[in-house]
Amino acid sequence: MVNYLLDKLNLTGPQTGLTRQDFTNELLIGLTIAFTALPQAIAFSTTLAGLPPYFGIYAAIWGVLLTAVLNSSKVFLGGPNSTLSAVIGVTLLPIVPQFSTEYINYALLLVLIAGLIQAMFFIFRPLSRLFDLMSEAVINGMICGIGLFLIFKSITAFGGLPINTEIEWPLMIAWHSLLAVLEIGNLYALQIGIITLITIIFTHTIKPLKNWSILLGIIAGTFYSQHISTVYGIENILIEQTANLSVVGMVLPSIPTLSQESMPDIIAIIPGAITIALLGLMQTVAATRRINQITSQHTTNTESIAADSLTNCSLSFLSALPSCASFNRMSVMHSMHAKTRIVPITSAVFLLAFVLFFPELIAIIPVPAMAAVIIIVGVRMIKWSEIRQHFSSKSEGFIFSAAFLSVPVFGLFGAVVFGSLLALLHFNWRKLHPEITVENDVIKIQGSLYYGSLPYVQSKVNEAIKKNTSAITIDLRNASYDDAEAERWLNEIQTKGASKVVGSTQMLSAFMPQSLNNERRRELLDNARFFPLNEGESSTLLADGDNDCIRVISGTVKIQRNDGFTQELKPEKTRGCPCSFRHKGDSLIVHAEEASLICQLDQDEVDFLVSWQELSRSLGRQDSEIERRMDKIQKSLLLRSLPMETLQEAVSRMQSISVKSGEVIIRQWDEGDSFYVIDNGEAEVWREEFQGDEAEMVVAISAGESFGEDALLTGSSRNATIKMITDGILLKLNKKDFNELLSSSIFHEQEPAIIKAMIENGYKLLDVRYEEEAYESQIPNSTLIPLFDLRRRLDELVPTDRYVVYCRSGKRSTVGAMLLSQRGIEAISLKGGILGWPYETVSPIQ
Amino acid sequence: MRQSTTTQLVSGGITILLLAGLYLLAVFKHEERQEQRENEVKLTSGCQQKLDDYGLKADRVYQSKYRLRRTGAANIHTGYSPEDVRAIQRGCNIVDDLLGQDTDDRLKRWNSDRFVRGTHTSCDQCHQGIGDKQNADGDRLVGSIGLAASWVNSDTYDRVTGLLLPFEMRQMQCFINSSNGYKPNINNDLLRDITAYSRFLAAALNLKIQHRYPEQGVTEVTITDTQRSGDDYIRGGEIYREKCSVCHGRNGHGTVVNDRVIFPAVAGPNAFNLQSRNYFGTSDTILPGFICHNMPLGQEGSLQPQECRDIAYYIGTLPRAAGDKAGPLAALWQQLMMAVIPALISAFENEDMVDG
Repeated sequence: MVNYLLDKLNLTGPQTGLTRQDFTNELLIGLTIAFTALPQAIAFSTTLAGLPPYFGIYAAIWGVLLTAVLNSSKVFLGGPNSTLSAVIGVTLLPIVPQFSTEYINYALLLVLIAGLIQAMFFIFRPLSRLFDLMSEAVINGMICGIGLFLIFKSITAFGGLPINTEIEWPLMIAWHSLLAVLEIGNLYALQIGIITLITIIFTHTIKPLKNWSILLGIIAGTFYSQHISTVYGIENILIEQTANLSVVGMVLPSIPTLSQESMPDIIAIIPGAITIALLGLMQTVAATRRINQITSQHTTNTESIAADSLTNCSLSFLSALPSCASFNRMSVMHSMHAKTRIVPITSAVFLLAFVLFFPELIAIIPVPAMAAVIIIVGVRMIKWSEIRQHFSSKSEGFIFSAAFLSVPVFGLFGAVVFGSLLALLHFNWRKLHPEITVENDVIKIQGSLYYGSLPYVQSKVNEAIKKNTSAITIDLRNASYDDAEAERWLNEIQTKGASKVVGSTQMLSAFMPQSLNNERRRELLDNARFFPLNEGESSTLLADGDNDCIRVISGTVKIQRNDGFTQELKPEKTRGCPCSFRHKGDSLIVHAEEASLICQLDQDEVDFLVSWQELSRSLGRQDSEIERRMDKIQKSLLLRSLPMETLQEAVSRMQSISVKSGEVIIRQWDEGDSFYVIDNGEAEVWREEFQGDEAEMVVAISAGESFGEDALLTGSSRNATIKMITDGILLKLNKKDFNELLSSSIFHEQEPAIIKAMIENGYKLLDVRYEEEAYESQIPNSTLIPLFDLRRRLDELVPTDRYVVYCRSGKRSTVGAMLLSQRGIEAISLKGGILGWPYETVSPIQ
Repeated sequence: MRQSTTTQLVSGGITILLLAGLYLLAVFKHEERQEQRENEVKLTSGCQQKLDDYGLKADRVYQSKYRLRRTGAANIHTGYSPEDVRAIQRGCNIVDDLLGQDTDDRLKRWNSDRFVRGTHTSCDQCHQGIGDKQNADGDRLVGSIGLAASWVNSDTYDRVTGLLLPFEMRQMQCFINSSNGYKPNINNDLLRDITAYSRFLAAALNLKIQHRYPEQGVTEVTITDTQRSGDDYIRGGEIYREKCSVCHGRNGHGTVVNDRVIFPAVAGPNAFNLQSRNYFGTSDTILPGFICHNMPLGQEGSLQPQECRDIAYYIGTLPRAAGDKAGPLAALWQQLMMAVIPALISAFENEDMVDG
């Protein structure tokens, strides 16, 4: 029945598979979220926005519900937000007296205008790219500044004093508020506030109560306030309480009204509306980005923006505060392993029920306790670990401080404008100034080359041309350009003869496998060496490895090997891979017949990258998370030596866990039960010589590296302690899976001798190399389907046949074999590829 | 895991200690204030004279000596408790000496100097005669911004904003604009004492609630009061240098002798700010009115309306603080102007003198 309902609502995404137990868990998370949101919602609306408490509660009900329905993300959570509420208060207090009907009307209008401004970002999509430019440093800086702002803002309410000022920006005003609290504050209010704070801090350290700490704090504060009002009498303690909610029903329809008279005021609140719209979207987009990172789903920014704008427009008709993503509650959801959108919906329903049946409980909450909640919310917005990270890089530290200081200096609206400008400036500055290094007559350009950065690049290049009498070489291997102006300039300086250009994209495509994407090409280029030669010039090249080969990109060269072999090479001739070297240490003399450019690269590296890319492609679109992880673990040496299909299986079985800075992941001498890859963050390896010795730091490891395999492979205890030095995310593979995958990897690959026997027993041969490679030599009776084409042409194979898949070195073929077995075709890969094939080969050309 | 729990406990402990410290500090400050409320008040010489003249003492009934002397009959008002008397006395002290120049103990003025930016402003510079300006015959003067007359007419709608403006809120505007400072909290004793003093003055002068008296507010000088030859700050500058600069200084920076403000600044960092209604750009009738009715001291009423307007216009052109509402950029700009303009002016004036 439950499952039927879930399918019907399609709330759980494509794979339902939700058990009854899961469902109960989801309900429990919903309840937790509801009661985390309740005190915050009331505090935001009364203390920050200056509105009746039901505004916050309706935002926590209808805002959450609407975003849950409109946003397809499974763990997205909307609802009232501290910052947005503070903007309402800051905007309206100087314009209309609080508690008046105009105040409420203007608040609704503010929400509506903000929603409409957000809709603009949805309608004009390019505008929404602004949020992609908001680097973490800008957003975190502003969030920290706003956290501080919230703390200062709630000081007066914390001391039981009336809110005194509508001017938000000078820090001195916060200082005066603090002094006022000390000198003339209500001591009973201070007691209530402090009790609430201490309860929250204390319960937060106890794990099972962690998510309930704010609610418990409010309860403690309320109990104490009730206690002292019975002892001393409410007329003596003079504690303000939250307004009565008993009139509130399920919905309180409201219409934001516009009138001729109110036009000047409405114009005056527009900056506030822009602030709400931008701050809301910034947080939503940042949250969406983070969700996409930690879960395997993908929600686009546009979708989140549309959901937010629609929600906010509707909320202005439902007497509610504006809504945006809530980081705090979302992290609660994530830590409790919420899976579906049932969570926000349950939380909304729970809250609705609570408000309908127990409104009198909300009415006795004292205002100082609310202020304490805001202080806690503000403090939690300032995360020291993140701040420390930003200050590890100088420029990021600067951006962070600027964004942070903009809040106390310019106020909320000023900070939003300043933050956006800062983000744009930072982005453009970096784009306009590609990194340029000049070494003698070689200029290396790193970054993007387009009309914007061209003046800067040109000035540097011209400087170098002036300095050098000979022609200079411009190295574009780490530069990207697809701009017509840049291309014209490159052509121009080449025809002038003043310089040569290395690494432009057209040239790359000349000698690189077509199916490689740009990223892989770049990687390949990092490992390749280029030699520009003038006409008549000669150069001696030395092989670094067994598989080095030479390709000619332009011009004609004559090569002479040390064993006397000579050959004339032209670009078209080197498209396959004639390995011009034989062994490591071989040397070649290259003589240029005309001006030419040649490149030396490791053929194995090409093999590896081709199969890597194919594997990533075979994962398909839905598994973007796995693809991302695969890219991450490329650095891990252990995994890289595994056959490709095993690797993919391993990655999909990995579990992502988030860890805190300082957490010990594995302890030396313990028994090993899992293997880890660092997805994100940094760790240190500490080792003791003997058990009980003082540990020494051995090495620091970072994202992409793995640890913990030794104990699993050898079955002995852990040989080191791994401690995180930053917060991060680890991918964890347990012992069972690890062993299973390692052993299974043997099955799909066989030695040439066994393969030979298999072929004689009726196995068909499938060659998955490029055509050019196959022209050189092939095992007799092979079918040729290049790996990049294999999936499309799988139908050409006979499903009942059994296949031996081979390639050059045995890397691509494991992927090929995997693709076949996915289609139910039995396939085995030839270990070592054709390079290790001692038997007969033919050359199809002849 | 254990490690992070310990750090959490330690930081939690520190926070709790801090909060406890904060609370204890608050209790200490409250007790200090309470003690101050119960202390005998040492009056400034001006207040001593004024309050004695009005016959303020703790009693069951109150009869105004001033009124008795003026009309031969005194109204009988409800008397003041010792507590009330102290509040009125403190209020008088604050109005007479906001910056506490006559006392060593800042708490005796409720730390009122903290709410003033700059070192010049005091209430009685505008609200002259400690908020109750009289001539030698004891007549209250037209447009002298008497506090008593303001109090009986307070809690009405503000003429400019149209909002209901309680007396304490109006005092806030004095603090943030006229003295370019900060708002005291509305619960602060500072405001209550000033209100108590103003209210006492109303009783002493026998003013009736909601009645309008000639000394209430500034009697404005509008353009219709003049020959309509147009306002001119160059003319104003000339008159200023001739008649005002003796006391207020060439740049309008006032006269300070031995750290005591003898004549307050009318421009520069110690004067009222751009948000103030004294600023000619905010209101072009209020400062002219004040000048015409209250300046120069001892020769009040000697200036023609047009002269008052010209002087006010000229004062308005002198650089001054921007006020918090104008935002940080305006504040920065005004700081720059205050640094540059006086230097420029003095440079050119010296040149003129050499030429002459």
